[in-house]
Amino acid sequence: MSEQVLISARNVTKSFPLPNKKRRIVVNNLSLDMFKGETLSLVGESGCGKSTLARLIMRLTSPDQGEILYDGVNIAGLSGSALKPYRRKMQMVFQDPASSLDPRMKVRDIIAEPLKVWHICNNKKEIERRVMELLEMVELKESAIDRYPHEFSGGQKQRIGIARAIAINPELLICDESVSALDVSVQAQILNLLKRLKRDLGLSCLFISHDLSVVNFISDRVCVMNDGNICEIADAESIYANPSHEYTRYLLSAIPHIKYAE
Amino acid sequence: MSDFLLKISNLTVSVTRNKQDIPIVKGIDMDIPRGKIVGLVGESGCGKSMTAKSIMGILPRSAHMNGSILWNDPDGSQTEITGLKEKELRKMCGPKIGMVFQEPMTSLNPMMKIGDQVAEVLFIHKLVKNRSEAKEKVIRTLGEVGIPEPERHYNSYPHRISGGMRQRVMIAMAVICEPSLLIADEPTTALDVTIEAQILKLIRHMCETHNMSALVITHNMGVVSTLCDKVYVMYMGRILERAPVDQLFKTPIHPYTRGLLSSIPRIHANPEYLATIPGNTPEFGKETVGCDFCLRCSDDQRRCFFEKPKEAEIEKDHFVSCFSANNRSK
Repeated sequence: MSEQVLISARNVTKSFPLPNKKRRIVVNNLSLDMFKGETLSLVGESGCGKSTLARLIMRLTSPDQGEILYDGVNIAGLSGSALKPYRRKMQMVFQDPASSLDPRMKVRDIIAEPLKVWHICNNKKEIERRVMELLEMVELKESAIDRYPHEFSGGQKQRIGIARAIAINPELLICDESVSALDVSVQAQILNLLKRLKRDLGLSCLFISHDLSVVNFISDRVCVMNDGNICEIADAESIYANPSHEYTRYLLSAIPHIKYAE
Repeated sequence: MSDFLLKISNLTVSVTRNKQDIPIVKGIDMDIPRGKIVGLVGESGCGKSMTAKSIMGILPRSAHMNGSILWNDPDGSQTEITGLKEKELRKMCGPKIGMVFQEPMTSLNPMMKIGDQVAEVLFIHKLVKNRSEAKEKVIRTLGEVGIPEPERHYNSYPHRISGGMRQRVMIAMAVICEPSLLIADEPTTALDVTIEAQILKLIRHMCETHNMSALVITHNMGVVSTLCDKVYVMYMGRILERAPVDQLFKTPIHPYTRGLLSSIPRIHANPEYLATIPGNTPEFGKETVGCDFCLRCSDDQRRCFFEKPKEAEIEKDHFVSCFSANNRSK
């Protein structure tokens, strides 16, 4: 892993208005560096600000204060056309595979849409070839191309979502609870797929999850968040072996463990 | 005296769709011993919720069931639940069997105060004489399930409290009549791990203090391992393996159980890739001649495709439906 910073958040704060004219601070003066080629995971309980932080990094929302540096360029204040080149470098895989795919589009059109938007392929033939290639990468059959999302199971839908996200060769893939809606046997398949794609394509990956054991499997580094702040950020191995922050220990102790007799 | 509380034998549930019967639960046997917590695990769509609903008699209209569900009351009388009329069933569900649903967000009435919702159960089953007695009992139960300041929360509306608190209210509703059996359908799926741990502890505590049995339906093996005494593994409407909890996690026999366990990422073992069960859960309605799991199985034999394996006892109380396991026991 190169130690080159891909994206970094500097003293970022984001708050949302409350009905009583106060504001709730969701991300509180937070700084974070993400290196090229690494998988960084954000873990924490619901409402701790992990999704908001990911949306800030993707610039789906803009921060109240602070900078977001992508390859050294501050993208926090950019808008419209200035932001467009950065949009291409970041793609997202969502939590619910059923609602993140358009039910009235065929798989061909779903995966081809980003290719058309970014004018990556010149003609229909090229688009078709690229879609086929992507289907193969996510281990779906070629016959899937002419089918609609409802014909697929949850795990297969998530594969389509992943194919769409990697279609334009992004540098950063953001997975927001991408495996939490899946059954364990399918979850394992998708986790393996993500790990393999990350290695083959050299992706950086920001992985959001509330499941600490999933995070342990997929990540290089783990960032534990609580109430808009970072509690602890460390290598996956060391954070599980000797958690230094009290909240991390609390989270780890809460997991219902399987008592394997080994 | 027989020591079971509830005995399900050869239960089948099917749903009618487009004038066709689609079998969902295909003949399962299960018994819930007194004072024990039984887990029913399986992936989504395997029929585990349908099993619970058939015990409570709350199957959807399009579904119909066959088989026997025998209730062995602590007072010694036995009742066949399947044959009960609605009126008689009402005397069972609530006072004797309580149920906690998965979604604490949607199973509470948003227009009713929490206290009144819990008290409603008491009025319906005529367990209290007047409002003040009901209120007293509700406040005591709310306190028991760990709701802070129960007097104040009696007058709160559901949207004012968190998901974990709502699930506690659901548990209070289920246990206020002091049932002998608690059915919990995915009680912690919508909750954070820290809250999950609290709720699991609470269910265990309630079972121990009230000498209650529980049927816990979940897809989370961790939950089963921490909470249950006995486990049933369900796949495609059939029970593939059943065993005491320690036994199952120590020596899982059925290829499905083994696959399921090895596909769970673990904290203190980090393989390069996870072991997976190939393929997807097949669709319902396509009945196979052979073993339900044969297409995804790692050690399939010719026989698996043509014949249904019978359940065999591998060790004491450890039953498996698989040909390769049968061979192993010989």
